[in-house]
Amino acid sequence: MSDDNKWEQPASPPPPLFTGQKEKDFVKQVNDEVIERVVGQTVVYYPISLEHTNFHNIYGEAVEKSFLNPVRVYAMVKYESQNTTTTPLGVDRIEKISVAFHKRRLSEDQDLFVREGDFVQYGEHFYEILSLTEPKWLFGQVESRFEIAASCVRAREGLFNV
Amino acid sequence: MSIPTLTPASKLSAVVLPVTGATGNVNSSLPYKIYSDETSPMYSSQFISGAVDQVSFVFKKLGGDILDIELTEGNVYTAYEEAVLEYSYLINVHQATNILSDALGNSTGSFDSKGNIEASALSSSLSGSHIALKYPKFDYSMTRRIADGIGAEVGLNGSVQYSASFDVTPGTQDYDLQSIIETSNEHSGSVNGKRILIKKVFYKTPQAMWRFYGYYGGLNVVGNLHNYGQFSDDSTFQLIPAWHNKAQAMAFEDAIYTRMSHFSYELRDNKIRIHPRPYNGGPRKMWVEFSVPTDVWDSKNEGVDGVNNMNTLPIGNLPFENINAIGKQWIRRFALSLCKEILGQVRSKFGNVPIPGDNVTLNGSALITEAKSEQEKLRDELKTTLAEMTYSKLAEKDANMTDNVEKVLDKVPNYIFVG
Repeated sequence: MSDDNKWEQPASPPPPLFTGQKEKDFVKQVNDEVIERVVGQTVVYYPISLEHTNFHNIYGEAVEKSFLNPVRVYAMVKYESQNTTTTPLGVDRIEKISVAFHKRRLSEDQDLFVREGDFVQYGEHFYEILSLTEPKWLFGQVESRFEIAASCVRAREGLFNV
Repeated sequence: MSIPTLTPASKLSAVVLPVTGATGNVNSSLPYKIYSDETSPMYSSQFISGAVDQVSFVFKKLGGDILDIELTEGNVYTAYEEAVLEYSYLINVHQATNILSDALGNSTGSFDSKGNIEASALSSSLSGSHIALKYPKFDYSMTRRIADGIGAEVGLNGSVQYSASFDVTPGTQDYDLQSIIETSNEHSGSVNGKRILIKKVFYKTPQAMWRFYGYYGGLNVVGNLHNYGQFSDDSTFQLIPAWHNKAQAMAFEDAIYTRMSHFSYELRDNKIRIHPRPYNGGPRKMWVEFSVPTDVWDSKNEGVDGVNNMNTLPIGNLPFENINAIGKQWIRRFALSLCKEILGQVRSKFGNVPIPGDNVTLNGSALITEAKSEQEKLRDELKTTLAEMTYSKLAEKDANMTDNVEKVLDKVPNYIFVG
Protein backbone atom coordinates (compact mmCIF):
# COMPACT_ATOMS: atom_id res chain seq x y z
CA MET A 1 0.00 0.00 0.00
CA SER A 2 1.40 3.35 -0.94
CA ASP A 3 1.64 6.20 1.54
CA ASP A 4 -1.13 8.01 -0.30
CA ASN A 5 -3.60 5.43 0.84
CA LYS A 6 -2.82 5.74 4.52
CA TRP A 7 -5.55 7.38 6.48
CA GLU A 8 -5.38 9.11 9.81
CA GLN A 9 -8.11 10.80 11.74
CA PRO A 10 -7.27 14.48 12.01
CA ALA A 11 -7.00 15.96 15.45
CA SER A 12 -9.04 19.04 14.71
CA PRO A 13 -12.28 19.48 12.79
CA PRO A 14 -13.45 18.62 10.27
CA PRO A 15 -12.98 15.08 11.43
CA PRO A 16 -15.22 12.24 10.43
CA LEU A 17 -18.64 12.43 12.01
CA PHE A 18 -17.87 15.94 13.28
CA THR A 19 -16.33 14.46 16.37
CA GLY A 20 -12.65 15.22 16.64
CA GLN A 21 -10.35 15.80 19.53
CA LYS A 22 -12.05 19.04 20.59
CA GLU A 23 -15.40 17.34 20.80
CA LYS A 24 -13.95 14.47 22.78
CA ASP A 25 -12.22 16.88 25.13
CA PHE A 26 -15.47 18.75 25.59
CA VAL A 27 -17.24 15.55 26.55
CA LYS A 28 -14.47 14.76 29.02
CA GLN A 29 -14.74 18.25 30.49
CA VAL A 30 -18.47 17.93 30.94
CA ASN A 31 -18.04 14.48 32.44
CA ASP A 32 -15.40 15.66 34.89
CA GLU A 33 -17.63 18.47 35.97
CA VAL A 34 -20.80 16.46 36.27
CA ILE A 35 -19.22 13.47 37.97
CA GLU A 36 -17.01 15.37 40.39
CA ARG A 37 -18.75 18.66 41.05
CA VAL A 38 -22.40 17.96 40.45
CA VAL A 39 -22.89 14.34 41.46
CA GLY A 40 -19.82 13.93 43.65
CA GLN A 41 -19.97 10.20 44.35
CA THR A 42 -16.59 8.87 45.36
CA VAL A 43 -15.20 5.43 45.88
CA VAL A 44 -11.86 4.49 47.30
CA TYR A 45 -10.11 2.16 44.94
CA TYR A 46 -7.85 -0.52 46.39
CA PRO A 47 -5.62 -2.07 43.75
CA ILE A 48 -4.44 -5.50 44.82
CA SER A 49 -0.70 -5.87 44.62
CA LEU A 50 0.24 -9.01 42.74
CA GLU A 51 3.79 -8.64 43.88
CA HIS A 52 3.10 -8.42 47.57
CA THR A 53 0.14 -10.73 47.97
CA ASN A 54 0.87 -14.23 49.01
CA PHE A 55 -1.59 -16.20 46.94
CA HIS A 56 -1.98 -19.94 46.82
CA ASN A 57 0.05 -21.59 44.10
CA ILE A 58 -2.67 -23.97 43.04
CA TYR A 59 -5.90 -22.12 43.68
CA GLY A 60 -4.63 -18.66 43.05
CA GLU A 61 -6.41 -17.26 46.07
CA ALA A 62 -5.06 -15.34 49.01
CA VAL A 63 -6.52 -15.11 52.46
CA GLU A 64 -4.54 -12.00 53.23
CA LYS A 65 -4.48 -9.51 50.43
CA SER A 66 -1.98 -6.72 50.07
CA PHE A 67 -2.90 -3.66 48.16
CA LEU A 68 -1.22 -0.61 46.75
CA ASN A 69 -2.01 2.85 48.03
CA PRO A 70 -5.75 3.45 47.75
CA VAL A 71 -6.94 6.16 45.41
CA ARG A 72 -10.01 8.31 45.72
CA VAL A 73 -11.97 8.07 42.49
CA TYR A 74 -15.10 9.85 41.39
CA ALA A 75 -17.52 7.50 39.72
CA MET A 76 -21.20 6.97 39.14
CA VAL A 77 -22.34 4.41 41.68
CA LYS A 78 -25.65 2.62 41.54
CA TYR A 79 -27.12 0.37 44.13
CA GLU A 80 -28.23 -2.69 42.23
CA SER A 81 -29.80 -5.21 44.57
CA GLN A 82 -29.71 -7.07 47.80
CA ASN A 83 -30.70 -10.69 47.93
CA THR A 84 -31.19 -12.48 51.19
CA THR A 85 -31.36 -16.23 51.23
CA THR A 86 -32.13 -18.29 54.27
CA THR A 87 -30.66 -21.75 54.50
CA PRO A 88 -30.27 -24.27 57.31
CA LEU A 89 -26.78 -22.91 57.70
CA GLY A 90 -28.03 -19.38 58.29
CA VAL A 91 -28.85 -16.18 56.46
CA ASP A 92 -26.84 -15.20 53.46
CA ARG A 93 -27.11 -11.64 52.17
CA ILE A 94 -25.60 -10.60 48.84
CA GLU A 95 -25.44 -6.90 48.07
CA LYS A 96 -24.50 -5.63 44.61
CA ILE A 97 -23.54 -2.27 43.27
CA SER A 98 -22.34 -1.11 39.91
CA VAL A 99 -19.63 1.46 39.58
CA ALA A 100 -19.25 3.31 36.29
CA PHE A 101 -15.86 4.88 35.82
CA HIS A 102 -14.93 7.61 33.39
CA LYS A 103 -12.15 5.89 31.54
CA ARG A 104 -10.21 8.93 30.32
CA ARG A 105 -10.26 10.55 33.73
CA LEU A 106 -8.78 7.44 35.26
CA SER A 107 -6.19 6.67 32.66
CA GLU A 108 -5.11 10.20 31.65
CA ASP A 109 -5.29 12.11 34.90
CA GLN A 110 -4.94 9.52 37.63
CA ASP A 111 -2.87 6.85 35.94
CA LEU A 112 -5.26 4.25 37.26
CA PHE A 113 -6.52 1.09 35.61
CA VAL A 114 -9.51 -0.84 36.79
CA ARG A 115 -9.11 -4.56 37.20
CA GLU A 116 -11.34 -7.44 38.11
CA GLY A 117 -10.52 -8.65 41.60
CA ASP A 118 -9.64 -5.24 42.96
CA PHE A 119 -11.73 -3.74 45.75
CA VAL A 120 -13.57 -0.50 46.11
CA GLN A 121 -14.92 1.09 49.22
CA TYR A 122 -18.21 2.90 48.94
CA GLY A 123 -19.41 4.35 52.16
CA GLU A 124 -18.31 2.06 54.91
CA HIS A 125 -18.40 -1.15 52.94
CA PHE A 126 -15.97 -2.89 50.66
CA TYR A 127 -16.96 -4.37 47.35
CA GLU A 128 -15.08 -6.70 45.11
CA ILE A 129 -15.04 -6.05 41.41
CA LEU A 130 -16.44 -9.16 39.80
CA SER A 131 -16.66 -8.21 36.19
CA LEU A 132 -15.78 -5.32 33.92
CA THR A 133 -17.32 -4.17 30.69
CA GLU A 134 -16.78 -1.18 28.42
CA PRO A 135 -20.29 -0.63 27.19
CA LYS A 136 -19.93 2.82 25.63
CA TRP A 137 -17.90 3.93 22.68
CA LEU A 138 -17.88 7.67 22.44
CA PHE A 139 -19.59 8.74 19.22
CA GLY A 140 -19.38 5.14 18.15
CA GLN A 141 -15.65 5.32 17.69
CA VAL A 142 -13.93 2.11 18.71
CA GLU A 143 -10.79 3.96 19.75
CA SER A 144 -12.81 6.12 22.13
CA ARG A 145 -13.97 3.67 24.70
CA PHE A 146 -15.46 5.84 27.26
CA GLU A 147 -16.81 4.03 30.23
CA ILE A 148 -15.70 1.19 32.44
CA ALA A 149 -18.64 -0.46 34.14
CA ALA A 150 -17.72 -2.51 37.16
CA SER A 151 -20.12 -4.98 38.59
CA CYS A 152 -19.32 -5.35 42.28
CA VAL A 153 -20.47 -7.45 45.13
CA ARG A 154 -20.05 -6.66 48.74
CA ALA A 155 -17.06 -8.40 50.26
CA ARG A 156 -17.83 -10.79 53.04
CA GLU A 157 -16.43 -10.01 56.42
CA GLY A 158 -12.82 -11.06 56.57
CA LEU A 159 -12.36 -11.26 52.83
CA PHE A 160 -10.70 -7.88 52.64
CA ASN A 161 -9.20 -6.18 55.60
CA VAL A 162 -7.84 -2.69 55.83
CA MET B 1 -20.09 28.98 47.20
CA SER B 2 -16.75 28.62 45.59
CA ILE B 3 -16.09 26.24 42.79
CA PRO B 4 -14.47 22.96 43.95
CA THR B 5 -11.16 22.18 42.37
CA LEU B 6 -10.79 19.11 40.27
CA THR B 7 -8.12 16.94 41.84
CA PRO B 8 -5.99 15.81 40.29
CA ALA B 9 -6.19 18.53 37.68
CA SER B 10 -7.32 17.49 34.27
CA LYS B 11 -4.40 16.96 31.97
CA LEU B 12 -6.18 18.17 28.89
CA SER B 13 -6.68 21.83 28.28
CA ALA B 14 -10.19 22.19 29.60
CA VAL B 15 -11.97 25.25 28.27
CA VAL B 16 -13.20 27.19 31.25
CA LEU B 17 -13.84 30.91 31.38
CA PRO B 18 -11.47 32.56 33.85
CA VAL B 19 -12.72 34.82 36.59
CA THR B 20 -11.11 37.88 35.07
CA GLY B 21 -9.79 38.88 31.72
CA ALA B 22 -6.29 39.94 30.88
CA THR B 23 -5.43 43.13 29.05
CA GLY B 24 -2.67 41.47 27.10
CA ASN B 25 -4.98 38.88 25.58
CA VAL B 26 -7.61 41.19 24.18
CA ASN B 27 -6.14 42.21 20.87
CA SER B 28 -4.87 38.80 19.86
CA SER B 29 -8.28 37.27 20.52
CA LEU B 30 -10.31 39.60 18.38
CA PRO B 31 -11.25 39.02 14.77
CA TYR B 32 -11.43 42.64 13.64
CA LYS B 33 -9.29 44.47 16.19
CA ILE B 34 -11.03 47.70 15.27
CA TYR B 35 -10.70 49.19 18.72
CA SER B 36 -7.91 47.06 20.13
CA ASP B 37 -5.08 47.31 17.62
CA GLU B 38 -2.76 50.16 18.48
CA THR B 39 -2.24 50.86 14.80
CA SER B 40 -5.96 51.20 14.16
CA PRO B 41 -7.32 54.73 13.86
CA MET B 42 -10.08 53.69 16.23
CA TYR B 43 -7.79 52.27 18.89
CA SER B 44 -9.09 52.79 22.38
CA SER B 45 -7.51 51.72 25.63
CA GLN B 46 -10.93 52.19 27.15
CA PHE B 47 -12.27 49.50 24.88
CA ILE B 48 -9.65 47.09 26.15
CA SER B 49 -10.52 47.90 29.75
CA GLY B 50 -14.18 47.41 29.00
CA ALA B 51 -13.53 44.08 27.31
CA VAL B 52 -11.50 42.84 30.27
CA ASP B 53 -14.23 43.85 32.69
CA GLN B 54 -16.78 42.11 30.52
CA VAL B 55 -15.10 38.77 31.31
CA SER B 56 -15.81 39.22 35.02
CA PHE B 57 -19.34 40.34 34.24
CA VAL B 58 -20.06 37.29 32.10
CA PHE B 59 -18.39 35.00 34.61
CA LYS B 60 -20.64 36.21 37.40
CA LYS B 61 -23.81 36.48 35.38
CA LEU B 62 -23.55 32.96 33.97
CA GLY B 63 -22.65 31.44 37.31
CA GLY B 64 -19.02 30.73 36.61
CA ASP B 65 -18.29 30.60 40.30
CA ILE B 66 -20.64 27.63 40.63
CA LEU B 67 -20.10 25.64 37.47
CA ASP B 68 -17.82 25.80 34.49
CA ILE B 69 -18.54 28.11 31.60
CA GLU B 70 -17.16 26.48 28.49
CA LEU B 71 -16.01 29.74 26.93
CA THR B 72 -12.64 31.35 26.45
CA GLU B 73 -11.67 34.91 27.20
CA GLY B 74 -11.50 35.37 23.45
CA ASN B 75 -15.17 34.51 23.07
CA VAL B 76 -16.06 37.26 25.50
CA TYR B 77 -13.77 39.80 23.83
CA THR B 78 -15.25 38.93 20.47
CA ALA B 79 -18.76 39.31 21.83
CA TYR B 80 -17.79 42.65 23.30
CA GLU B 81 -16.39 43.87 20.00
CA GLU B 82 -19.48 42.68 18.20
CA ALA B 83 -21.71 44.43 20.71
CA VAL B 84 -19.87 47.71 20.18
CA LEU B 85 -20.13 47.31 16.42
CA GLU B 86 -23.80 46.41 16.68
CA TYR B 87 -24.44 49.49 18.74
CA SER B 88 -22.47 51.54 16.26
CA TYR B 89 -24.49 50.05 13.43
CA LEU B 90 -27.85 50.82 14.98
CA ILE B 91 -26.85 54.34 15.92
CA ASN B 92 -25.44 54.99 12.48
CA VAL B 93 -28.56 53.71 10.77
CA HIS B 94 -30.58 56.00 12.96
CA GLN B 95 -28.33 58.92 12.14
CA ALA B 96 -28.51 58.07 8.46
CA THR B 97 -32.28 58.33 8.70
CA ASN B 98 -31.84 61.71 10.29
CA ILE B 99 -29.44 63.28 7.89
CA LEU B 100 -29.76 61.54 4.56
CA SER B 101 -32.09 64.07 2.99
CA ASP B 102 -29.68 66.83 3.94
CA ALA B 103 -26.52 64.94 3.06
CA LEU B 104 -27.54 63.85 -0.44
CA GLY B 105 -24.99 65.06 -2.94
CA ASN B 106 -22.47 65.94 -0.27
CA SER B 107 -19.02 64.48 0.12
CA THR B 108 -18.78 60.81 0.69
CA GLY B 109 -15.78 58.90 1.99
CA SER B 110 -13.70 55.80 1.55
CA PHE B 111 -13.74 52.97 4.02
CA ASP B 112 -11.43 50.12 4.84
CA SER B 113 -12.55 46.54 5.26
CA LYS B 114 -13.45 47.21 8.88
CA GLY B 115 -15.77 50.09 8.12
CA ASN B 116 -13.35 52.74 9.31
CA ILE B 117 -13.42 55.86 7.25
CA GLU B 118 -10.06 56.34 5.59
CA ALA B 119 -7.91 59.40 5.81
CA SER B 120 -9.49 62.29 3.97
CA ALA B 121 -10.84 65.71 4.72
CA LEU B 122 -13.71 64.11 6.55
CA SER B 123 -11.57 62.14 8.89
CA SER B 124 -8.68 64.45 9.59
CA SER B 125 -9.38 64.09 13.26
CA LEU B 126 -11.24 60.95 14.05
CA SER B 127 -11.11 61.45 17.75
CA GLY B 128 -14.04 63.47 18.95
CA SER B 129 -14.91 65.01 15.64
CA HIS B 130 -15.76 61.90 13.73
CA ILE B 131 -18.28 62.48 10.98
CA ALA B 132 -20.68 60.04 12.60
CA LEU B 133 -20.79 62.42 15.55
CA LYS B 134 -21.33 65.65 13.68
CA TYR B 135 -24.54 67.57 13.77
CA PRO B 136 -24.91 68.70 10.18
CA LYS B 137 -26.74 71.70 8.81
CA PHE B 138 -30.22 71.27 7.48
CA ASP B 139 -29.67 71.61 3.78
CA TYR B 140 -32.75 69.98 2.25
CA SER B 141 -30.56 68.62 -0.51
CA MET B 142 -33.13 66.30 -1.94
CA THR B 143 -35.81 68.96 -2.08
CA ARG B 144 -33.33 71.27 -3.76
CA ARG B 145 -32.40 68.66 -6.30
CA ILE B 146 -36.06 68.08 -7.13
CA ALA B 147 -36.54 71.82 -7.51
CA ASP B 148 -33.54 71.89 -9.83
CA GLY B 149 -35.20 69.36 -12.06
CA ILE B 150 -38.46 71.23 -12.12
CA GLY B 151 -36.61 74.50 -12.73
CA ALA B 152 -34.78 72.96 -15.64
CA GLU B 153 -38.10 72.07 -17.19
CA VAL B 154 -39.11 75.69 -17.30
CA GLY B 155 -35.75 76.94 -18.40
CA LEU B 156 -34.35 77.97 -15.05
CA ASN B 157 -31.53 77.07 -12.81
CA GLY B 158 -28.62 75.83 -14.77
CA SER B 159 -30.43 74.05 -17.56
CA VAL B 160 -29.13 74.85 -21.01
CA GLN B 161 -31.77 76.30 -23.29
CA TYR B 162 -31.20 76.53 -27.00
CA SER B 163 -32.88 78.56 -29.67
CA ALA B 164 -33.14 77.71 -33.35
CA SER B 165 -35.14 78.81 -36.31
CA PHE B 166 -36.51 77.23 -39.42
CA ASP B 167 -37.73 78.70 -42.64
CA VAL B 168 -41.41 78.57 -43.29
CA THR B 169 -42.31 77.63 -46.82
CA PRO B 170 -45.69 78.80 -48.08
CA GLY B 171 -47.93 75.83 -48.57
CA THR B 172 -45.87 73.52 -46.34
CA GLN B 173 -47.32 72.65 -43.00
CA ASP B 174 -44.97 69.92 -41.75
CA TYR B 175 -41.39 70.34 -40.59
CA ASP B 176 -39.17 67.81 -38.87
CA LEU B 177 -37.66 69.88 -36.11
CA GLN B 178 -35.46 67.10 -34.80
CA SER B 179 -33.87 66.65 -38.18
CA ILE B 180 -33.63 70.37 -38.92
CA ILE B 181 -31.93 71.16 -35.63
CA GLU B 182 -29.77 68.08 -35.46
CA THR B 183 -28.32 68.70 -38.88
CA SER B 184 -27.77 72.41 -38.41
CA ASN B 185 -24.19 73.51 -38.06
CA GLU B 186 -24.97 75.46 -34.98
CA HIS B 187 -26.60 72.70 -32.93
CA SER B 188 -25.34 69.41 -34.26
CA GLY B 189 -22.62 69.29 -31.60
CA SER B 190 -24.83 70.06 -28.65
CA VAL B 191 -27.66 67.77 -29.74
CA ASN B 192 -25.25 65.01 -30.54
CA GLY B 193 -27.89 62.50 -31.52
CA LYS B 194 -30.03 63.08 -28.47
CA ARG B 195 -33.70 63.74 -28.63
CA ILE B 196 -34.44 67.42 -28.20
CA LEU B 197 -37.18 68.73 -26.00
CA ILE B 198 -39.18 71.49 -27.71
CA LYS B 199 -40.25 74.12 -25.20
CA LYS B 200 -41.62 76.94 -27.23
CA VAL B 201 -42.48 77.84 -30.82
CA PHE B 202 -42.92 81.43 -31.92
CA TYR B 203 -42.65 83.78 -34.82
CA LYS B 204 -42.26 87.49 -35.15
CA THR B 205 -44.16 89.85 -37.38
CA PRO B 206 -42.22 92.46 -39.18
CA GLN B 207 -44.71 95.15 -38.23
CA ALA B 208 -44.59 96.08 -34.61
CA MET B 209 -46.46 99.36 -34.45
CA TRP B 210 -49.39 97.74 -32.69
CA ARG B 211 -47.18 97.47 -29.69
CA PHE B 212 -47.51 101.18 -29.27
CA TYR B 213 -51.12 101.61 -30.16
CA GLY B 214 -52.81 98.29 -29.45
CA TYR B 215 -54.57 97.08 -26.42
CA TYR B 216 -53.89 98.99 -23.21
CA GLY B 217 -51.35 101.30 -24.69
CA GLY B 218 -53.87 103.87 -25.78
CA LEU B 219 -53.20 107.24 -27.29
CA ASN B 220 -50.97 109.99 -26.03
CA VAL B 221 -48.38 107.57 -24.78
CA VAL B 222 -45.25 108.41 -26.65
CA GLY B 223 -42.28 106.43 -25.68
CA ASN B 224 -40.70 106.63 -22.29
CA LEU B 225 -40.01 110.30 -22.18
CA HIS B 226 -43.42 111.31 -20.97
CA ASN B 227 -45.60 109.96 -18.31
CA TYR B 228 -49.12 108.83 -18.82
CA GLY B 229 -50.82 111.42 -16.65
CA GLN B 230 -49.39 114.42 -18.38
CA PHE B 231 -51.15 113.57 -21.61
CA SER B 232 -54.38 112.35 -20.18
CA ASP B 233 -57.53 114.36 -20.50
CA ASP B 234 -58.94 113.01 -17.32
CA SER B 235 -58.30 114.36 -13.90
CA THR B 236 -58.96 111.41 -11.61
CA PHE B 237 -56.45 108.59 -11.23
CA GLN B 238 -56.68 105.50 -9.18
CA LEU B 239 -53.41 104.50 -7.65
CA ILE B 240 -52.58 100.85 -8.11
CA PRO B 241 -49.76 98.86 -6.56
CA ALA B 242 -46.79 97.95 -8.69
CA TRP B 243 -47.59 94.21 -8.65
CA HIS B 244 -50.97 94.96 -10.11
CA ASN B 245 -49.38 96.76 -13.00
CA LYS B 246 -46.94 93.90 -13.44
CA ALA B 247 -49.69 91.29 -13.44
CA GLN B 248 -51.56 93.34 -16.00
CA ALA B 249 -48.46 93.50 -18.15
CA MET B 250 -48.02 89.74 -17.91
CA ALA B 251 -51.62 89.19 -18.91
CA PHE B 252 -51.03 91.53 -21.80
CA GLU B 253 -47.94 89.65 -22.89
CA ASP B 254 -49.71 86.38 -22.57
CA ALA B 255 -52.56 87.59 -24.70
CA ILE B 256 -50.20 88.73 -27.37
CA TYR B 257 -48.21 85.52 -27.38
CA THR B 258 -51.13 83.19 -27.48
CA ARG B 259 -54.48 84.69 -28.28
CA MET B 260 -53.21 87.04 -30.92
CA SER B 261 -51.12 84.50 -32.75
CA HIS B 262 -52.50 83.64 -36.12
CA PHE B 263 -50.84 80.28 -36.10
CA SER B 264 -50.99 77.25 -33.91
CA TYR B 265 -49.20 73.95 -34.10
CA GLU B 266 -49.18 70.32 -33.27
CA LEU B 267 -46.03 68.55 -32.26
CA ARG B 268 -45.65 64.82 -32.71
CA ASP B 269 -42.31 63.10 -32.34
CA ASN B 270 -40.66 66.47 -32.75
CA LYS B 271 -42.38 66.94 -36.11
CA ILE B 272 -44.31 70.14 -36.18
CA ARG B 273 -47.46 70.80 -38.15
CA ILE B 274 -48.39 74.45 -38.49
CA HIS B 275 -51.97 75.59 -38.73
CA PRO B 276 -53.19 77.13 -40.91
CA ARG B 277 -51.12 76.28 -43.92
CA PRO B 278 -48.42 78.94 -44.31
CA TYR B 279 -49.15 81.36 -47.07
CA ASN B 280 -47.42 84.12 -48.93
CA GLY B 281 -47.24 87.22 -46.84
CA GLY B 282 -47.14 85.30 -43.62
CA PRO B 283 -44.13 84.82 -41.41
CA ARG B 284 -41.12 83.57 -43.30
CA LYS B 285 -39.32 82.17 -40.34
CA MET B 286 -40.25 80.61 -37.06
CA TRP B 287 -38.18 80.03 -33.97
CA VAL B 288 -38.15 77.28 -31.48
CA GLU B 289 -36.65 77.11 -28.05
CA PHE B 290 -35.56 73.74 -26.94
CA SER B 291 -33.34 71.96 -24.53
CA VAL B 292 -31.30 68.85 -24.79
CA PRO B 293 -31.97 66.67 -21.74
CA THR B 294 -28.69 65.94 -20.05
CA ASP B 295 -27.59 62.61 -18.69
CA VAL B 296 -28.73 62.23 -15.09
CA TRP B 297 -25.27 60.95 -14.23
CA ASP B 298 -23.55 63.96 -15.76
CA SER B 299 -20.81 64.54 -13.22
CA LYS B 300 -20.62 68.23 -14.11
CA ASN B 301 -23.76 68.65 -12.10
CA GLU B 302 -23.19 69.45 -8.48
CA GLY B 303 -23.36 66.52 -6.14
CA VAL B 304 -23.82 63.75 -8.67
CA ASP B 305 -20.71 62.06 -7.30
CA GLY B 306 -21.68 62.67 -3.70
CA VAL B 307 -23.86 60.86 -1.23
CA ASN B 308 -26.74 59.15 -3.00
CA ASN B 309 -28.07 56.88 -0.31
CA MET B 310 -27.39 55.47 3.12
CA ASN B 311 -24.70 53.33 1.58
CA THR B 312 -22.45 56.25 0.68
CA LEU B 313 -22.90 58.35 3.78
CA PRO B 314 -19.47 59.12 5.23
CA ILE B 315 -20.24 57.41 8.51
CA GLY B 316 -17.71 55.03 10.00
CA ASN B 317 -17.64 53.01 13.18
CA LEU B 318 -18.42 55.02 16.27
CA PRO B 319 -15.37 55.97 18.30
CA PHE B 320 -15.50 54.01 21.52
CA GLU B 321 -14.73 57.01 23.70
CA ASN B 322 -17.74 58.83 22.35
CA ILE B 323 -20.22 56.19 23.39
CA ASN B 324 -21.87 57.46 26.53
CA ALA B 325 -23.07 55.59 29.60
CA ILE B 326 -26.37 54.70 27.96
CA GLY B 327 -24.57 53.06 25.11
CA LYS B 328 -21.98 51.37 27.29
CA GLN B 329 -24.63 49.63 29.36
CA TRP B 330 -26.42 48.49 26.22
CA ILE B 331 -23.14 47.07 24.97
CA ARG B 332 -22.52 45.16 28.19
CA ARG B 333 -25.95 43.61 28.10
CA PHE B 334 -25.72 42.75 24.42
CA ALA B 335 -22.24 41.26 24.85
CA LEU B 336 -23.52 39.14 27.72
CA SER B 337 -26.30 37.87 25.53
CA LEU B 338 -23.87 37.08 22.73
CA CYS B 339 -21.74 35.11 25.20
CA LYS B 340 -24.81 33.22 26.22
CA GLU B 341 -25.50 32.40 22.61
CA ILE B 342 -21.94 31.16 22.04
CA LEU B 343 -22.16 29.04 25.14
CA GLY B 344 -25.45 27.69 23.86
CA GLN B 345 -23.84 26.80 20.56
CA VAL B 346 -21.08 24.95 22.37
CA ARG B 347 -23.46 23.08 24.61
CA SER B 348 -25.95 22.25 21.91
CA LYS B 349 -23.60 20.65 19.46
CA PHE B 350 -24.62 17.40 21.08
CA GLY B 351 -28.09 17.11 22.52
CA ASN B 352 -26.98 14.57 25.03
CA VAL B 353 -23.51 14.09 26.38
CA PRO B 354 -22.81 10.58 27.56
CA ILE B 355 -21.56 10.11 31.07
CA PRO B 356 -20.71 6.79 32.66
CA GLY B 357 -23.90 4.90 33.13
CA ASP B 358 -26.10 7.67 31.91
CA ASN B 359 -26.55 10.71 29.66
CA VAL B 360 -26.61 14.40 30.46
CA THR B 361 -28.77 16.82 28.58
CA LEU B 362 -27.06 20.19 28.37
CA ASN B 363 -28.95 23.47 28.31
CA GLY B 364 -27.55 24.63 24.97
CA SER B 365 -30.88 25.02 23.18
CA ALA B 366 -32.37 26.93 26.08
CA LEU B 367 -29.38 29.24 26.16
CA ILE B 368 -29.63 29.96 22.46
CA THR B 369 -33.35 30.65 22.63
CA GLU B 370 -32.90 32.89 25.62
CA ALA B 371 -29.98 34.72 24.06
CA LYS B 372 -31.79 35.32 20.78
CA SER B 373 -34.78 36.66 22.62
CA GLU B 374 -32.61 38.98 24.69
CA GLN B 375 -30.80 40.27 21.65
CA GLU B 376 -34.04 40.95 19.86
CA LYS B 377 -35.37 42.81 22.87
CA LEU B 378 -32.22 44.86 23.20
CA ARG B 379 -32.28 45.78 19.53
CA ASP B 380 -35.98 46.63 19.68
CA GLU B 381 -35.46 48.68 22.81
CA LEU B 382 -32.74 50.72 21.18
CA LYS B 383 -34.57 51.08 17.89
CA THR B 384 -37.76 52.15 19.62
CA THR B 385 -35.91 54.72 21.66
CA LEU B 386 -34.07 56.03 18.63
CA ALA B 387 -37.26 56.18 16.60
CA GLU B 388 -38.57 58.65 19.14
CA MET B 389 -35.49 60.77 18.63
CA THR B 390 -35.34 61.37 14.92
CA TYR B 391 -35.02 65.01 14.09
CA SER B 392 -38.51 65.07 12.65
CA LYS B 393 -39.91 63.48 15.80
CA LEU B 394 -38.09 66.01 17.92
CA ALA B 395 -39.65 68.79 15.87
CA GLU B 396 -43.05 67.21 16.44
CA LYS B 397 -42.42 67.08 20.14
CA ASP B 398 -41.31 70.67 20.20
CA ALA B 399 -44.46 71.66 18.35
CA ASN B 400 -46.60 69.71 20.80
CA MET B 401 -44.78 71.27 23.67
CA THR B 402 -45.39 74.73 22.31
CA ASP B 403 -49.06 73.98 21.73
CA ASN B 404 -49.44 72.65 25.20
CA VAL B 405 -47.69 75.63 26.73
CA GLU B 406 -50.11 77.86 24.87
CA LYS B 407 -53.01 75.86 26.26
CA VAL B 408 -51.67 76.30 29.74
CA LEU B 409 -51.21 79.99 29.20
CA ASP B 410 -54.79 80.22 27.98
CA LYS B 411 -55.88 79.27 31.45
CA VAL B 412 -53.86 81.98 33.11
CA PRO B 413 -56.19 84.89 34.02
CA ASN B 414 -55.42 87.97 32.01
CA TYR B 415 -55.09 91.30 33.68
CA ILE B 416 -58.33 93.23 33.22
CA PHE B 417 -57.90 96.89 32.71
CA VAL B 418 -60.23 98.98 34.78
CA GLY B 419 -60.24 102.56 33.57
